[in-house]
Amino acid sequence: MTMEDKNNKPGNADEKLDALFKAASDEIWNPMDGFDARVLARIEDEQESRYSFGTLAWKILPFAAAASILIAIAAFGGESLNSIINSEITDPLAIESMVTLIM
Amino acid sequence: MTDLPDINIIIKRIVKGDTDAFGMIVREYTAMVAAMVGRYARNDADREDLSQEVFIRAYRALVKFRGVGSFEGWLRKIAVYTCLDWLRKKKHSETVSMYELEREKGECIEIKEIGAVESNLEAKLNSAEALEILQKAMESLSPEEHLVIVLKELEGRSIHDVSQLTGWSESNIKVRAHRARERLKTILINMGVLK
Repeated sequence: MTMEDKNNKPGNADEKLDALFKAASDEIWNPMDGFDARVLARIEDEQESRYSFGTLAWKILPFAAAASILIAIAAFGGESLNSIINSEITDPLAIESMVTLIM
Repeated sequence: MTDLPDINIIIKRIVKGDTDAFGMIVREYTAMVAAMVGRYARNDADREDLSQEVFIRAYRALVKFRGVGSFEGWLRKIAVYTCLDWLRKKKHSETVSMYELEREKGECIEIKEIGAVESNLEAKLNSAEALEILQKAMESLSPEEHLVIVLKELEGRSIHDVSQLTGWSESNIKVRAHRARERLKTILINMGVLK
């Protein structure tokens, strides 16, 4: 008898498989005591880490904004100074007004 | 499922930030969730993680619960999807080291012996042993086949129920269930559990 014949033989493999399912379905797992507390602790941890990330972001934000402004001023100022140096503007008043603008 | 105040009131409290109110839900549905996930994971640590994950996903999704249908049904669906994701992740990350391979061989021999003894003597199987044997065999199935076998054969759900829980069509489930059962039979015969 081949393996397939054995599988298809009624009352053999199928019945035993059903018996196995039935026996296995009686097995019920339950977590250890304090499961609810462990779930709530995980939720609180998650909320805390989300909160601390938010707080950190708010704390960093003003510094990041200030740094961006300084970088922009430095880039713009540097370029303007170069243009003054390389330009043929000789009028002291025009140079002074440009420097004031940069400052 | 008793003594739980109106679920919609509890949900409103949770959404407003009352985490303790969620504790009531966890206590009420722990047994239901544990019974479900206990059939997928093989050890207590995985079962604990999986059960926690179900409740954490439910907590995150609570704002989306519109009260259409029962809360229990909604939670069951979350549990089913969490288990399916876990099975997929487990299958995907299965990199068997030499040590594990040896251990698996050992388990296979052990299961073979149990199966041979049980099937020869026609003795009634211990439920924990039966589940252990089935879980070992189901590891060779696809996550979707594994899920269908658990829902249909171990939980005794109808095709219609399985369809409601998974969102798959009934014909799809029939095909999967038949295929999974045949594959499982062959695996168990090869393991020496069935003749």
